[in-house]
Amino acid sequence: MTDFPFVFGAALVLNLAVTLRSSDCWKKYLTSSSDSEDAVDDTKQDLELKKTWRGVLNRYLAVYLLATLSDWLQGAYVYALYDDYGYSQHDIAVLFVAGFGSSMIFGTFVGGMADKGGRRTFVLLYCLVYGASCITKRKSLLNGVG
Amino acid sequence: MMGRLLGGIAYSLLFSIFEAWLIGAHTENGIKKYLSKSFTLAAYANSVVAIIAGLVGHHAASASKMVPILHKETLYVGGYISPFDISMGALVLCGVLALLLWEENFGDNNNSNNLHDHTAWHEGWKNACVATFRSPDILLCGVVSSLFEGSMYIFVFFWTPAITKAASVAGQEDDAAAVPLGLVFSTFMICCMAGSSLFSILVAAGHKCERIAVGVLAVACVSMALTAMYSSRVSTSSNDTTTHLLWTMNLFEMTIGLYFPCIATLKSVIVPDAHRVAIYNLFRIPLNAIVLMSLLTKWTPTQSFHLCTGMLLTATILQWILLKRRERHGSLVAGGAGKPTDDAEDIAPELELEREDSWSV
Repeated sequence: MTDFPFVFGAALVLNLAVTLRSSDCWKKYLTSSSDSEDAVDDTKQDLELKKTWRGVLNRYLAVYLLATLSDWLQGAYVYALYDDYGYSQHDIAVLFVAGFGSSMIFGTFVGGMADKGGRRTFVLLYCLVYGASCITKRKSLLNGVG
Repeated sequence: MMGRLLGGIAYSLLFSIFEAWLIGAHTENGIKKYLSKSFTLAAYANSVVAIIAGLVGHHAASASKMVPILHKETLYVGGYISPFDISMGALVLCGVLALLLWEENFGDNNNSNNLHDHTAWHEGWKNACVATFRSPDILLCGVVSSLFEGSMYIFVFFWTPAITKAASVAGQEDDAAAVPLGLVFSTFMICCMAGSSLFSILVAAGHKCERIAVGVLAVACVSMALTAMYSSRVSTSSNDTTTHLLWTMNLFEMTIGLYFPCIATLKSVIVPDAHRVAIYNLFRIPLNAIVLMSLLTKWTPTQSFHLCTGMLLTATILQWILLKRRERHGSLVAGGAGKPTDDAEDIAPELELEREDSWSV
């Protein structure tokens, strides 16, 4: 029997090790406080920039992560939902093909407009479009619009 | 069907505008040197969100049965619909936050004041094509990302059947369904996170993005080849095969974690900001074509993994060509806050150069 929990644990330990190494935390513990030249090197301007960066990043993550959350939630259950509605394997495949085809054709055109129309406007459009896509997952509507 | 069409459009937007906005915001605030760090954190957080979404979705879906609210079966709640309802809530919140927190940013800085220019929408698209085909760097970068992401999607489709089959042949017929797919998925995401962190370590150590990318693609290629090998051995398999399969898949997931911040940093420099979203979407055409092809041809997981190996090998070679090209021009992307002394200057003038490159019609 493959030990799935063991592999999971090993990956988790690996991840923790690498993450700790990549973050700045390890420096605090591993290097003595005497050679904390990094802190001295940080000029006031640098600190100012870093603050701006944090601000931008936080604003970005708040919006971006909600967007990906909605995507992960939908992505994982589309198949299960269609299956539950009694669609055949073939129908589901067709629906998936339609999705990627639409991304290829319409998505490209819509994307081309975003440079001009402004990126924030198109983030709002994304929410609208994906929200509409959620609504169409309702069975009664599925019967109507496919 | 309508839902899938809309979903497809949303998908294209998800993978281009957010990144474009982030780059735009960094440029505006003069914090370009932190960009690779931002991409790393975004990729890392994305994996965390994936795990959370998995848990939330599972609980929401299993908490209740799907029942009609009204008598005439017009509106259902519960069951598999619940994740979609939560997703909708997240989208509404996302839209509100975008309105409150984000400032608008345009690609076309030159023309941002004549917004009423209605003829321009296909113009931008045309310019993007011209820019892409004129610059071999953009073209190479685009093909590499299409090939890698294409094999990633194929992998996403086929890892479940591959691992379930391996486990079932390995003498667990009775509990083949008991492969803890949720746990395997979480393991994948954790490997992804480790990969992202590894990228920031490599950048901090002063490695150039192009070079990292070559390494990442090569490792991805090897791990995919091994995955294909183990999944082809399934019929004669022992328990070990499943375990090996799991490990090689994990290795591939780790390269995914490395790949995204890496390619995002590369693209942020190579692709001119004016047509960023349009060009990113151009890159997605071959990607979608690859995915469509794999959906339409009824290949087994093993065959698909072999195809992926070939694609990744091609990507590695192309990325190597890109590296050589940029080495010759002496314009490698350092991409990090690792060595703040020269990086900041390194990136800025190069951006100008790239822009002129693609504008000089």
